[in-house]
Amino acid sequence: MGNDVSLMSDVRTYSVGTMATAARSQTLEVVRDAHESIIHVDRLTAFYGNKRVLNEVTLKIPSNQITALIGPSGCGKTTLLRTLNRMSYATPGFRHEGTVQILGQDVRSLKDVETFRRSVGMLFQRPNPFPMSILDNVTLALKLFGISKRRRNEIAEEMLGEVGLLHEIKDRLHQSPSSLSGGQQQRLCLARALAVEPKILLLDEPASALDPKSTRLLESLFVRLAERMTLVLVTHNLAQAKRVAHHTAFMESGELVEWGDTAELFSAPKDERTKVYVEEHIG
Amino acid sequence: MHGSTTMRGYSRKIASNMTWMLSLGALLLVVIVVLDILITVVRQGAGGISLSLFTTQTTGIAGGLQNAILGTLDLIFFSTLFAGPVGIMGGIYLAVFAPDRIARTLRFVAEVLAGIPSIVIGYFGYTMMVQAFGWGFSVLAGSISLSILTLPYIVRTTEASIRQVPKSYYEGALALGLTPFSALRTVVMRPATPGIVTGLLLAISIGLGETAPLIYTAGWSNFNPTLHLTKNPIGYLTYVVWTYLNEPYSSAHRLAYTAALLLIILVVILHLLARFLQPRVKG
Repeated sequence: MGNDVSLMSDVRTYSVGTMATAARSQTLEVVRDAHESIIHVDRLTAFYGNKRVLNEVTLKIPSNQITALIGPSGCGKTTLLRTLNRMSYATPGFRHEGTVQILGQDVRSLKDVETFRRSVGMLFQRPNPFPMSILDNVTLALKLFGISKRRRNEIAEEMLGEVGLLHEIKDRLHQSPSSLSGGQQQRLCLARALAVEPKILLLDEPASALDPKSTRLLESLFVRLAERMTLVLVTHNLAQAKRVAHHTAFMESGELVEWGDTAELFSAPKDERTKVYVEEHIG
Repeated sequence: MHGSTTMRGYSRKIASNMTWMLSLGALLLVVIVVLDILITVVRQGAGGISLSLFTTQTTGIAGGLQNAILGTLDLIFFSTLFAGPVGIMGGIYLAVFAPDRIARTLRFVAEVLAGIPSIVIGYFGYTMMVQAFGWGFSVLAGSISLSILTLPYIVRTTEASIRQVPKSYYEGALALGLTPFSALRTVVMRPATPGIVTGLLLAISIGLGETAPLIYTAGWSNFNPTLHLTKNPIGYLTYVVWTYLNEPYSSAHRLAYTAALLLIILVVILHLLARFLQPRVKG
């Protein structure tokens, strides 16, 4: 974190670290269309203990679209994602500088984390259905928020329908989710997240443990959901980013190297590092 | 793979055989010792089991064991009442909330506590509770001493049981907007409970077999336990084993062996219960 960084952060561009002088001039107009940005990350630098995992990341994520975060393992994309709903705060030794604004609120100084998290849902790398019945999985949060049983079941039915599970498992609603396939479990988790009506959905490599068919099904759901909410997708699968994301951000060693329109980023990357990574990883 | 024809292969085989034989020898040693104890205790103690054992109190070096049986149950009840909640909440704190450094310190303290000889805890109980607090030999002093002894054990098993619950359950619940408390209650404690109860039962069985912390704190009484928590000495089974074996009378010896048999039966029952409750490993 020498002078370079602070110098760059004066210019309103994404941070490219100490090396990429060429990229400095690329001021990206992040929001290219009518989609107003809903997440503002401004010079976010994050640490686990003494290890810096994010370095001056600045990024605006447009609403009602899918934004993909790609990059090699350990590049910080998951940390970035988990900072958006303060999940990373739970990891001992985590701290950050810079600001994250979501839905007009500063994430660091939230008064009511729980209400905030209801509007920022999350889907995890491995399906994590709770150890209770399929129906209870979807209704648990609603129950704790004091919603009537009748209404809860209505919502559950609607959400399970939305993710295409209802007709598949109609007669198994009271059984344990462990009988479901991985893809079905992940869709159950999606239904569970949707039940509390989030405005933003954070997806942490949600399909990395799934077979291709389940992956495609999940992707089609994401695309449909983008009509009414904002999705941020961390993925290792560049083809997936290409298929579903409107915008893509490429990260490397804790820095946001490049970000923009997905098609552009893949066809004409501006930064040499992006180019190398994309060429290596896309078939 | 092809190693069996080489020198290294041979020496490996010899080492493997020797390890196998040593392990078997060690196992046999343990089994023989346990069998010897069991046979001795059953042979010497089984004759003493009769209805009057449970209905009459000890008189001098003869009589029944009603006072000691009830006393043991009384002490176990109160020590579990003290150590249970504190230990379980401590375990939850360590597993979920404690920052790394505090957790390490607390774990170290618990280990030290677990390593303190029980007679020292007994003497500590004597100087503090029996004398300084003026409680005299009593249920309260005895059961608190016992709970100090079992506390680290309960903390440890609770922490371990909670750590076995996938972290993604807890995070998934937080991501839905549940408070940490609700998340713990609904998705973490449920799967952790069998393990915690198992630990509690094993802790009870440890307390059951202790003599040293009670000698200085509970005293001994030929009469059934009273409802007074202080100033009333109380009998317990391990005292009978400890003292009556030194008496030069066969009636005292028989009583000691019968008390030992009862203790072993109680411990076996607790262990069977614990095994029954042991969470099955997901296959």
